[in-house]
Amino acid sequence: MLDQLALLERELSAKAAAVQSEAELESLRADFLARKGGRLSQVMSGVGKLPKEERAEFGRRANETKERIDAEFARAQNRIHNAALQTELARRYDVTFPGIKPRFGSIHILRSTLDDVAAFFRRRGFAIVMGPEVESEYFNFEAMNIPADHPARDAMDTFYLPGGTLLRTHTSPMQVRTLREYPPPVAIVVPGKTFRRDSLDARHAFNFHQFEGLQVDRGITFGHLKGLVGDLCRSLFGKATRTRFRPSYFQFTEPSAEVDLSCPVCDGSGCRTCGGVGWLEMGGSGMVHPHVLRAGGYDPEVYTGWAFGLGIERIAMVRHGIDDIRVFTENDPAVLEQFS
Amino acid sequence: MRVPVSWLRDFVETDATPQAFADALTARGFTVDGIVPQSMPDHIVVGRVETLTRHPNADRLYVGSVDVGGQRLQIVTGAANVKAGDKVPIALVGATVYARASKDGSPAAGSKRIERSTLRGVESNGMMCSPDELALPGEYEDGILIMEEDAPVGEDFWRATRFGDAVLDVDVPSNRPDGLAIVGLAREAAAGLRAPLRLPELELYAGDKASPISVEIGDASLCRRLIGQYFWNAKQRRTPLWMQLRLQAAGVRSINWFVDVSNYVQLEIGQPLHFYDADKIRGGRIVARSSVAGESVTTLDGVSRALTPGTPVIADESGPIGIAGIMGGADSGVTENTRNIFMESPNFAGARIRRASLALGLRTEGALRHEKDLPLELPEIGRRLAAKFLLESGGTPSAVVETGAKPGLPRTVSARPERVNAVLGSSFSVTQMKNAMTAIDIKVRGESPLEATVPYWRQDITQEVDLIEEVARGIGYGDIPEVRAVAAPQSIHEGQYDQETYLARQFAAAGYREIVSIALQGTRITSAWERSGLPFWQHVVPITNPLSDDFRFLRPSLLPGLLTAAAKAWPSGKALRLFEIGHIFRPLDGSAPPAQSADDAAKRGVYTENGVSEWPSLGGIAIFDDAQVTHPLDTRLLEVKGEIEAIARRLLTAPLATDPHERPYFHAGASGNIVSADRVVAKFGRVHPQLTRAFDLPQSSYAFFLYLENIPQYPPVRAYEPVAKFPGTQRDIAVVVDEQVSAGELSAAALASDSPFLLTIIAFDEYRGRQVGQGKKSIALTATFRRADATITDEEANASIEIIVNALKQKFGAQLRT
Repeated sequence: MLDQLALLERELSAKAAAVQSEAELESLRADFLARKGGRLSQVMSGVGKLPKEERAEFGRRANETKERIDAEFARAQNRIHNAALQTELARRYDVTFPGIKPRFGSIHILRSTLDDVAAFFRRRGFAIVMGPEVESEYFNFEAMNIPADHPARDAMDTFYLPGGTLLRTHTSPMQVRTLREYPPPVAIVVPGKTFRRDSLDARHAFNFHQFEGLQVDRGITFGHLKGLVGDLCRSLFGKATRTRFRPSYFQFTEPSAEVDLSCPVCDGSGCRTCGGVGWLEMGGSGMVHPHVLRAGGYDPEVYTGWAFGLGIERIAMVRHGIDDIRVFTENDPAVLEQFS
Repeated sequence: MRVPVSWLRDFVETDATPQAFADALTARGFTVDGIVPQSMPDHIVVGRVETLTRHPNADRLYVGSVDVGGQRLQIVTGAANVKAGDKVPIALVGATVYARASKDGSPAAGSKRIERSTLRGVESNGMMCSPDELALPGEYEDGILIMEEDAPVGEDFWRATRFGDAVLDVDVPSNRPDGLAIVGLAREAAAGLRAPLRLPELELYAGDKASPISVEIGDASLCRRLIGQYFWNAKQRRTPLWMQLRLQAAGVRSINWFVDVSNYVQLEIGQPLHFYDADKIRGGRIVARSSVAGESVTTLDGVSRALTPGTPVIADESGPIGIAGIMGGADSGVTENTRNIFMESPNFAGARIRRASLALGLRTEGALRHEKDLPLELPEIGRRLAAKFLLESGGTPSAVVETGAKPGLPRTVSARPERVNAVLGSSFSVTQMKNAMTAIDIKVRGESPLEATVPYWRQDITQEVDLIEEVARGIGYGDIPEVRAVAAPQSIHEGQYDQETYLARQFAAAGYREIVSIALQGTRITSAWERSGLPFWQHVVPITNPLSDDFRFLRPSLLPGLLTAAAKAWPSGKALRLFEIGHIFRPLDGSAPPAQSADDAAKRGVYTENGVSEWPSLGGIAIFDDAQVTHPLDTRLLEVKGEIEAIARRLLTAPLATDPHERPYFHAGASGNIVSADRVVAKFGRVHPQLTRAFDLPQSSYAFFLYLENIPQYPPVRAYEPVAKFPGTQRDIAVVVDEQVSAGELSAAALASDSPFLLTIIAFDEYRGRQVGQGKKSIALTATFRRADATITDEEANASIEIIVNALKQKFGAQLRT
C-alpha cells in the first residue's frame, strides 16, 4: 500500500512536469484527485483492508503524499501561468491604428463663444439674464429714447407683428426691463436673438445674436466702460489687443462710443480681414442715457451706468476666422463637428 | 455722405491730407468709412483752340493750333465736338492719362503716356482730353471736355476746376443734420484738425420789387417757416465745370443749372430748396398744407400719385403742385423754356415729412434732411446762397417773401464741471472743457456751472449730458483712463441661462450636436409639410413685413428647424443626433399656450405680454443609420427615451412616468409624454413616416421636446442614500396580457400591490405570436426584492412575486407564462 502511494507520487511528478496547458493540468488533476474514482482515492479506499495498527501510519503517509501532490500541482500551475504571461508580454500591438470614436456631441460655436463672455462677466459679479424676443414698441424704442417718427429708427430695420408689436432689434429692451425689476446695483449681461430686416449675405443676417452689458450704480463712469470692455477684448482676443472708443451716436447712450478692436490678424497694420483700416468694429456702447434710467425708475442724478451691445457672431467670426455669417445657421455637420 | 475734400478746404484753412481729415472726422463721431482717392494726372493745362483745320491726309482727324499759355502747340485730334475758340484740357507731352473710362479712378484701368508724335505725316505735341481720359467722376457726353469761356489759358487744369484729391465717405449720425452739409463737416474737421474755419458772409441778394407769388402756411403743424423769392428772366446756363465736378464727386448727377444750384446749396449748407417755373403757378400763391381727400399730383419722377389725406403738399390755386419737402411736381418744374423762377425755401416738421416719405417710399435727399427737424435759420441762408448763384446767370430778384416762425434766441444749456468728470471718470479742467466746446462755436460763460450758448445748427444739444458728450469728444475718448472694477453684489435671477447651459452640456455629453436655426420660417417649411400630407401648426405668428415667403412667420416649434438640419446632414448616411434650444411662438388666442406651471412665468422665460405666447423649448432629433424599425418593441425609441429620462432625472426629483400621447408629427403608435409629478416634462416619438419621407429622412428618425417651463432650472440637492447592508434578490416573470395593456401599467400595478420588499420592477421584453395567441402579448419583467433589516430569503421572495402575479391577474387578467 505504501509503495502504491510512492508509485503514484512518482508518476504524478513526472506527468505534472510535462504538462503544457491549463486544460492538461485540469484533466491530470481530475485523474489523480477526483473524489470519486480519482487515483489517490482509489489507493485510499484500500485502507479498510489494512490491519488496524497500520491504518494510522498509512493515513499519515497518505496525507503527506496528498500535500506533496498538491504542491506539485501548484508548481505546475505557476509554471503554466508564467509561460502564458511571457507569451502575452512578448506580443506587440499596433497602437498607431486609429482610435475608435466615442459618440460625443457638441455645443454650438455661438454658445461656446457666449460661454466665454459669460464666464468673463460672472468673474466680475455680473448676472446673466434673458428676455423675450417679441417686444413692444415701448421697450424696444420709446424706453430707449427712440420716439415714434424718429429717424434713428431707420438704422434698425424692424420686423413688425400684427398688433404693433415687433421682433426686438437689439437686446437693449432688457435694460429697462431689468432696471424696473431690480433695485440698484444692477450689473447684467443679456444674451439673445435679435432681428433686423436686412437681407442675408456673407456679412448680414436678419436673425443674429447679441449680448447686452449693463452696469448701473452710484459712481459708474465712462472709465469703467472702457476698462471692462477693454478687459473683455483682451480676454477674448489676446493680451496684446488694443481697443479704441470712437465717438458715435445711439439714442439710448450718451456719450456714445463705437468699440473698435485692433485687428488680431494684422495687429492694426491693415489687412483683408479689417478692410485695410487696422480696426474691427465690435459694437456700440456708452453711458446710459438719463431718459433710459428714468424709464427704469432710477434717478439719473444719483445713479449712472454704462451699457453696450456686442454681436456674438462678430466675436466668433474674428476669433475663429469665419468669413461668412451664414455659417452659424446653416448647421453643416462638417462645421458642427469642428467645434466639438 | 460723399464729401470731396477740396470742398471742405473751401472752409478749413489747412494743408492737412485727406487721411488727416478722415482721422479728425472719425475721432469726432463722423466715421469715415472710406477715402476714395481722385486721380489727377500731371501736366494737364487749360488750352484755347485758336484754329482747327482738317487733317490733310485723314478724313476723321483735325489739326488744331492750341494756346496753352505762352506757347502754341500743334495738336492732332479725332474729336468732332471741338471748334475754334473752345477751351479744352490739354495733356502736354510727358503727361500720363487714362486709356479708357476709369470710373473708380484706379490707375489699373490702363494708362497712356503722351509723346511727341506724328499722325499721318502731321506732328502732334499733346492731346485734347475727354472726361474719361482724365478719370473725372460722374457721366459726361462723348467727346472732348469743353470748358467755360472764362477758363484761364495755361492754368493747371485741376486748379482751374478746383478739383480735389479725394472723396471721403462719411457716416453721419442721425441726430446731426448739420453733418449732412459740407459746412457742418468742415466745422467738425476744423475743430479736429485745430485749424481755422472760414465761413463767407452772404449778402441779401434780393431786390425791391415785390414777388408776384406769395407764400402761405396752411397747416402750422406741418410747416414752421416758408421763404420764397421770385426771379425774372432767370437764365439756364451751363453749370460751371468746377460745380459739375464737385456735384458728381459727391455722387449727385449734374442735370442743369437750376437743379445743380439747388443740389449744390443742399449739399453745402444742408437746406433743401425747390425751384418752380413761376409761370406755371396759378393764383399767385403757394400754400404749405396737408392734402385733402381726392387730391393727387404727378411728381418729378413722372409718377402720378393719389395722395392719402394728410400728405404734406405745396399747393397753388388749382391743388397740389408738389409733395412738400419730398419731391416737386412735374407740371410746375423748371424746364429749358423756363423764364421766371420762384424759389421755395421751407422748414417743415420732421415727423410729418418722415411719415409721408416712408409711406410714399420716397426717401429723397430733401426728405432725409427735413425729417431731422432742421433749424429755422437755415431757409434764409439757403435762399441767399442759391440767389447768389442764380444771379450769376442774370435775372432780376424780387424782394423776399416769407411767413411763419422766425428764429428765436439761441438755447442755453448748463453743465456742472464736476458732473462732467463724474460721468466720464475723467479729471478734465474747466479750461479743457471750455476749449472743447468753443472749438465748435458753442459759446461758454461762467465756470460752475458752465453756461453754454448753443448755436442754431446744434438743436440736438438740449441737456447737460449733451454737453458732457461734446466735452468728451472734443478732448478725445482716448484721454479718459480705463478703470478696472467689478460689480457690487446683487441677486438677479439667472435661472433661464443656467438651465439652458446645463441642459446644453448634458445633451452634448449624450452625443447630441447643438444647432442654431433662424427663428423665422415660411414656405420652404410649410411646403415640406404639404408634401407629407400632415397638418402644419394651424396658428402661427405672422410677420407683417416679411423679407420673403420663406421667412414669414415665427417658428411654432423647433421641429421644422431640426428636420431641416437633419435633412442636410443625413445624405452622409451616418447616425445623427442634433438638438436646439430656443424660443418658440404661438398666437396668444390660437392653440394652447404653454402650461403655466410656474409662479413667475417670466422667470422661466414664458412671455405672453405682447399678444404672443413665447417660451423656451429644447428639441432634439436622433436618426439611426440602421434604417430598420424594430417590432414589437421599438428599441431605438426606448434608447432615445432613456437619454431624455436620464437627463431629466438630473433636474427632477419626482419619479418619471410615460403616457402614450398622439401628436400630428409623430407616429401615432410610437409617441408619448414623460410626466413627473403630474406635469408633462417632455414629449417624444418616432417622427411620422410621411414627414420623414417629405424630408428624405429614414424611418428610424426620433424627436423629442423638453417642456423647459416645467423643469427646474437647477439640479436639486439630493439626500444621501446609504448603501444597502443586505443583498437583494431578483425574480423574472413573464405574463400574458391583452395587447392593449402596457408595460408601464403592469409595473405601476406591481408597485401598487401589497407585495412586500419590492424595490423595482422593470419590463425587459415583449413577445407576440402564435405561442400567446391572437390579441395577446407576453411581457417579461424583472422584480428586485430586498429587506432593509436582513437578507431576504427565497421563501419571502417567492411569496412576494406570488402577490404581484395575483395582483396582475386580478387587474389585467394576466396569466403567468411558464
